[in-house]
Amino acid sequence: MIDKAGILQQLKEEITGLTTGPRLEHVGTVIKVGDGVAEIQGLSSAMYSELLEFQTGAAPVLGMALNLEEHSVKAVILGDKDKVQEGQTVKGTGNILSVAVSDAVIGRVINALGLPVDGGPAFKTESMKRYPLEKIAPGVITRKGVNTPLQTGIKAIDAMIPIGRGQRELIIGDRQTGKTAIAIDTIINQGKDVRGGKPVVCIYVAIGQKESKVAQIVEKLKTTGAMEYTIVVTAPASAPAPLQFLAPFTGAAIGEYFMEQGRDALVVYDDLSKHAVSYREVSLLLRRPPGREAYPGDIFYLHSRLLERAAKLSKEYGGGSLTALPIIETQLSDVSAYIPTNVISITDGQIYLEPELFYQGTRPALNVGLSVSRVGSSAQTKAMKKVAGTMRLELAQYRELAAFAQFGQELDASTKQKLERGKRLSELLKQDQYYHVPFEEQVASIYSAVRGLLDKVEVVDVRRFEKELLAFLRERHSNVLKNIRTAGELTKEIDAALHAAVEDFGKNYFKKT
Amino acid sequence: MKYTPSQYATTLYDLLEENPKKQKETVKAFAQKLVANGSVKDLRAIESAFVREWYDRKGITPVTVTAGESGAYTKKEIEKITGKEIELTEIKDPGVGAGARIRIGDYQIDNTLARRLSDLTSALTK
Repeated sequence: MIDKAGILQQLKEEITGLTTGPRLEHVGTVIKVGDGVAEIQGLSSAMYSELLEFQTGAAPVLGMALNLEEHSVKAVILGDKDKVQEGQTVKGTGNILSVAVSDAVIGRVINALGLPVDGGPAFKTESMKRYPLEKIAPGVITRKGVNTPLQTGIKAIDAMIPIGRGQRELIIGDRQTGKTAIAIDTIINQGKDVRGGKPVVCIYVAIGQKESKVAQIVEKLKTTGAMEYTIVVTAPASAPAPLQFLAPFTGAAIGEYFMEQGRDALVVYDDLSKHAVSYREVSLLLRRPPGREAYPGDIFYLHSRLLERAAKLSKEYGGGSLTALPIIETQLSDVSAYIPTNVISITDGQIYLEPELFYQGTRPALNVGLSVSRVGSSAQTKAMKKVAGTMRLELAQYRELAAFAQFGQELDASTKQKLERGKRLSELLKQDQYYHVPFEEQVASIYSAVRGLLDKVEVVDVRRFEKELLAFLRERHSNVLKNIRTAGELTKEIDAALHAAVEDFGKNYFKKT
Repeated sequence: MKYTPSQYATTLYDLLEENPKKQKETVKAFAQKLVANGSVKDLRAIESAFVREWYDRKGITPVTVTAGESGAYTKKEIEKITGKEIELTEIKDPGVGAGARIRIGDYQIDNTLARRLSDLTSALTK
């Protein structure tokens, strides 16, 4: 039944709570407008990145102050730019551009301003916290070293280029080499590799992507159940450049909210090459002086201040983390171009994907020699470190020897053996998309290779062997896998049990073949 | 060399102040110079800069009063409140309902019924 008295009381409170007296507003006038940029006379005390309201009629169009000049302010228009005309009044809101965040944003697709674009209900912003898009990164005192792994479920990465929670790991490569696939696989794997009760909150920021691609990604995340802990921030290719330039900052602000709640968050910026292009467009329209490749002088600062916001907080500050996986698209594998070198130097390592490897069928097309993780190894579990350390060395030797072997020289037995093992290890690291290997199974799989069990298997049969081995371990020796997962290291007992289990499988497998 | 709208406005003001009797010729020559320099597209910005320059040098504050009826505030009343010499522009807009909106330089005091109703609508529809 409708509570009439209650409704009237609430209405009365709402109305009496309103300040209806005269209001002092800070205003300016549009004197020039074009290409999504407005020049405003007045607004003398506007702040950098202050949210502005263009008084266009029924609903104001939003804008953001970017160039604060002596007598004027240049602002980018964030809404319908066609409605903004010369002579219109612009009001300063006194607020820096911010996004409303709460747990309600999880599972939603939003735009760069934090508004839902998935057709779902609008957010109840009164009960949400506002996080500024631009915020100074956590300082030294509040941080802690990276110490927890972020499992991607991809053997090659988790074993050799481990990523820690709070790290910034760049995914770099040409178009169509599987950069987004790695990021999406990592997001999906967070639902399978849950530590501490809750999965890592993932934020996927699509910058300048085709809307059809974003729709496919959202669909994939939904079907795999990953949308339950993921937020998609989209500024597609059809969105104006200012929104594309703001989107990663929106993603970072949302990530910071969860980090400050003591939770672990992961943000994927797909991709920062397009982000740099959108910032170049905005800067040129604002008539800022162009620098190298016409990018503005502060393009490095733009990306460094964004990526510096990834952090692992100390226990006193909640112990949360924000991991960043920026993506850079190279042209003809040129990693020495302006934006790639900038982002390589900012991040804590890079996963380099090579088109040649991709077309040869090595997927993920990871170049193990050029890929590196500068801080992730300290977050790697002891078990993985033990088995992967040997593998990294053997693969390095293989690459060196393989180059010599091409000359057709006669090779000694030891070299031949190293080459054969290298081939099998490379084969073992191949992995299909959306096929995630849990950490303990990765350890068992690599263990079997570095302990020589794979040497007797034909290269073409390596993946079949691995599949059968893991199925066997799951069925017959699930306690060994469980022990590896809980202990996180290969103690003498676990090592012996794993060795026995692998040997047990080997006996049957080779008898069969 | 490219000149900013502010530089054009200051130059025009200085030229007019030096030769107030030759105003017509000065403005004509200035317009020709704008065409020659390809700066006609900046005319609106130059105009705004010139108006600002004019107010600054004369020490006058522009004030715009928007109200349902003219004569809501007189020049004297506003000068008494602000303590400054002002140039008053009145805009008659029945859409504001009651009250008035006064713009003084970069600030605006909005005491209209239209604004109050708009606040009430947004509070109730939130």
